[in-house]
Amino acid sequence: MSKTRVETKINGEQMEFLCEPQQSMLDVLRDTLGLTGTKEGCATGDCGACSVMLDGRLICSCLMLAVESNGRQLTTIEGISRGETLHPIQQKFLQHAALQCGICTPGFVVAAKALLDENPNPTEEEIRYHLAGNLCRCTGYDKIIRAVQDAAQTLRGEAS
Amino acid sequence: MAKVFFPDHLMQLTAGVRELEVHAESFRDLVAKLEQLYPGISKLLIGKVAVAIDGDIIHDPFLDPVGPDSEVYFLHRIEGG
Amino acid sequence: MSEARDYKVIGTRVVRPDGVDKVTGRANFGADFSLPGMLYGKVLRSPHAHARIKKIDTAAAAKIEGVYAIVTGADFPKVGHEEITGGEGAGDFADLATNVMARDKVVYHGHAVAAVAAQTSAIADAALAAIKIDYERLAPVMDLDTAMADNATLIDERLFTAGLPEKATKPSNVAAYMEFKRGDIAQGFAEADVVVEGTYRTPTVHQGYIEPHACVASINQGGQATIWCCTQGHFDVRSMTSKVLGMNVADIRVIPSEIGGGFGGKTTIYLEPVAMVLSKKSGRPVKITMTRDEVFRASGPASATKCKIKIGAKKDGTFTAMSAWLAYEAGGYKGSSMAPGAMCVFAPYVVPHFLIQGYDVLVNKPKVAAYRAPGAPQSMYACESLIDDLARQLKIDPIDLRLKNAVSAGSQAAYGPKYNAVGFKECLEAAKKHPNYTKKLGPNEGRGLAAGFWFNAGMQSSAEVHINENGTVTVVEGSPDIGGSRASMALMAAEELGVPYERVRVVVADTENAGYNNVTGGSRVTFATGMAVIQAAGDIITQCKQRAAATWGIEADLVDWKDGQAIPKPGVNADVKPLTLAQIAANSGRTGGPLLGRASLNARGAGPGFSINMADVRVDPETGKVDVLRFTAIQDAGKAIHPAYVEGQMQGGAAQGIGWALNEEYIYDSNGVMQNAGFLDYRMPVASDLPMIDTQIIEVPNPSHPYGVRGVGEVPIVAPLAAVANAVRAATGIRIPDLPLSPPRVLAALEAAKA
Repeated sequence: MSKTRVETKINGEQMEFLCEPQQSMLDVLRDTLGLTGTKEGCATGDCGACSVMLDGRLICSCLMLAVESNGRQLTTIEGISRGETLHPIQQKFLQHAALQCGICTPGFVVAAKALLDENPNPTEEEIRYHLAGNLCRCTGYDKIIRAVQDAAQTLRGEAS
Repeated sequence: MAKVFFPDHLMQLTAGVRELEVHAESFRDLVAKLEQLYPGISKLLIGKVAVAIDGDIIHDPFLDPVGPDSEVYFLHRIEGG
Repeated sequence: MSEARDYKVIGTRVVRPDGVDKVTGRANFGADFSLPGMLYGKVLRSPHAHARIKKIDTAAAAKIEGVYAIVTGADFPKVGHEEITGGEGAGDFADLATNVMARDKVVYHGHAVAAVAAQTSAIADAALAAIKIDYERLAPVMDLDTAMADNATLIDERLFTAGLPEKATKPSNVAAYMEFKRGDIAQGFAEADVVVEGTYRTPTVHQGYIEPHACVASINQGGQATIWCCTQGHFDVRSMTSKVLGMNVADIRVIPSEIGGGFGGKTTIYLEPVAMVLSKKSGRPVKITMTRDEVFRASGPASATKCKIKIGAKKDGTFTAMSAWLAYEAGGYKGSSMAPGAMCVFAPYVVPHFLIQGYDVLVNKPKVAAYRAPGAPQSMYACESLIDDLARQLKIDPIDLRLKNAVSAGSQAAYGPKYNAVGFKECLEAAKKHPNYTKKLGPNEGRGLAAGFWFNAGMQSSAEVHINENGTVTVVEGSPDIGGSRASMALMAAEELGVPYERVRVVVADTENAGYNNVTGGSRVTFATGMAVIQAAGDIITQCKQRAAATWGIEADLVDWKDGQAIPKPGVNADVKPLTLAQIAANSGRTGGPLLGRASLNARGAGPGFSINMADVRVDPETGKVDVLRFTAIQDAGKAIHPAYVEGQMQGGAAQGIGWALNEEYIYDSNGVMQNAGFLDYRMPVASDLPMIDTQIIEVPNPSHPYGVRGVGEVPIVAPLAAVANAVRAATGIRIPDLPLSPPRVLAALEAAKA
């Protein structure tokens, strides 16, 4: 099967790659482009470890074909921090000990950013339902929710 | 004299004796004394059991000291998950 | 050993040293590693739950372009029977080897039968599809009742039940029988005013770690190999792989990646020997990762069980007798968690007479592996549910009933020795005082309470402390960091040395540059590896005192170490300024060489942990759905080195226990094929299923640890099962003894009660 050439912007950087038509975006990110921050937990869209943003919309990259990214923009975990500085969501995850093993953390950070981009003042229930697509087996979600609440407050410019 | 307690599966070798007083300086010494009383028991003890000496559980005991008033319990080895 | 003291850094909520890489995606987990020239390996798995392998034909697969190696059981050496040391289910190396790659028989759907290494995963898949295997199908044995029945189909025709009072004469699916006794059980029940009993079932469940198993193996033509893998114990990967392949441990280097969850499921090996043999045959590095489907079907879930409990008590609540009949499914090979389950079931209580009978049972399911306090959730679910019913029958508050019978220092544990200081009563008292115990409940709502326990392990750890030339500290240890343990190691080193936390770095080293370490598991790392770090820091202090003494021209025993500095002891006549760690380090070349401290130990005195959990639920009478409204976890941690990570263990274990109680189970069809091998239908709790989980850390110091530490990682999963079940009982008035309490089961029970 011959490969398709794809041009896409990932974390603001223009990229091009060759892939087979049936390859998922997740596989290409990890195996072709070396962007291993996005994780595979299930490859069936149930765990959210592969969360990325496609043109600003939160998706599971395991459910997207790599060829679909042609001409579009992707944000992965590698694009959340800016240069030397962590994003407030990342800082709050650290402060609140909202990670234990850390495998789900990239997915949660991307998902939380997608939420707060759209809804800067979510209730606890809204946060829980928005993040229901991201599985965590270590934390019981408590400290993750608190970290997102605190990050939301910081991003709104309020003292925390 | 240290008091030694046998779990049920070892009582098959001690002819039903559950509790015994033994003078021993270390676990190795204790096992040697028990082997004299119950030939064959040392094979089931060295490298096969954990032991609680005065409440402290030791995994793979050997040189660990046994005191004159110690209580010694043999346990199945449990690691965890 | 531990005394009350004011800690400088212990107990503070520092940011973990490995955190930035984890929130930015830079940290490397098992599947994130690649090598030049690497091939992709895939495993062919049995389509049958129980079958003999008659013939394997790989000729067509070998012809496919891009296939570099194919292996089957014939490529693996025969391994003799030898007990696997330190396991909670006495496993056998011969069984481990055949679990990794089947030889003449498959004993569960998904059992590995062959593997290939190819240029791409797609080619590997095509090669698997081209392998032809002739099977002789056998009847699958899919549950312990069927397995234990007379004339059951035998899974291993050479297996005779070990541990029976009279030697077994016929082979059986029951691999082992165990008995634990105290007193006279008949007399104990005769003395009771009230006797209650119940039979409880729990399903096969999975640890549910989000990261699937993954490894890269590379062996050179000289037989020296490196394995990169996610694991809870890289020294165990080395020793187990060497046993399975007949190799010298010195020829295998295992480098642990960061690990995306384990909970006990990553304390054994599945892929590593397969990747090694493929690497050997192809002459290239080989990477194998499990899909989620494979993780469910072919790693090591936790035992399904049937537990029959009987309790006798006086009218005032004093227990007179307890009995337990416990049958645990081991999977296709012997070695369930029945023994620890039996040792834990009555552990929180003073029981004058008891009889515990345990059965380790083979079924055609994947061989079980450890899952957080292995064995205890199942047996204690049963006992704590029955105690709840007893409390109701005696009209005694469930906390008071437990207080009346609770163990404390000097009590004889049901598993044998006397307890040293333990915190069960303190947890009960705290529960009684907790505001959540008296919060108002609405219609269809109920509150349930239960106790949890785990021994916590000690075992072997090694650590080195290196002082860098600027006085900063590098701790080198060998315990993979599952939950933030690097932070705790840094806190302990900083505390001992008297330096700020920020001056300490922690490295998790591999099998070639760390001293030997037992597994990260068993709630042992903060306790045992921590103790090694403390002792290695103490070694540094001894050396620093010597260097300072030499610098000052006085005897070393006249030097003290305080707040990160060497100072002369009070009263010593020496007109000298204190020497900081940085100063001593800068000068170390002139005073004897680099400062390197080391310690290795077989830690004794791990302190048992107790907990009390309370759950408030609402049950929807129309759908049977159970919502958890409130959850409170109270646990004795001895001393919380990093309180946020202790809370994290309590909350994470609670979530797993809640999932075990309410939704999680392996569902099989009549052919023994799992029907729900994915996260959609193997339903673990998500963020919208749970409330905030309230925690209270109790600190009854463990007298055998310098800071009083008790392991905390495993206790949290034990109590939630019965806490939730007891809450459902309170909300509905009905005891549903079989887990999970999923909507169909609850609804059926509600409707049956109405009829």
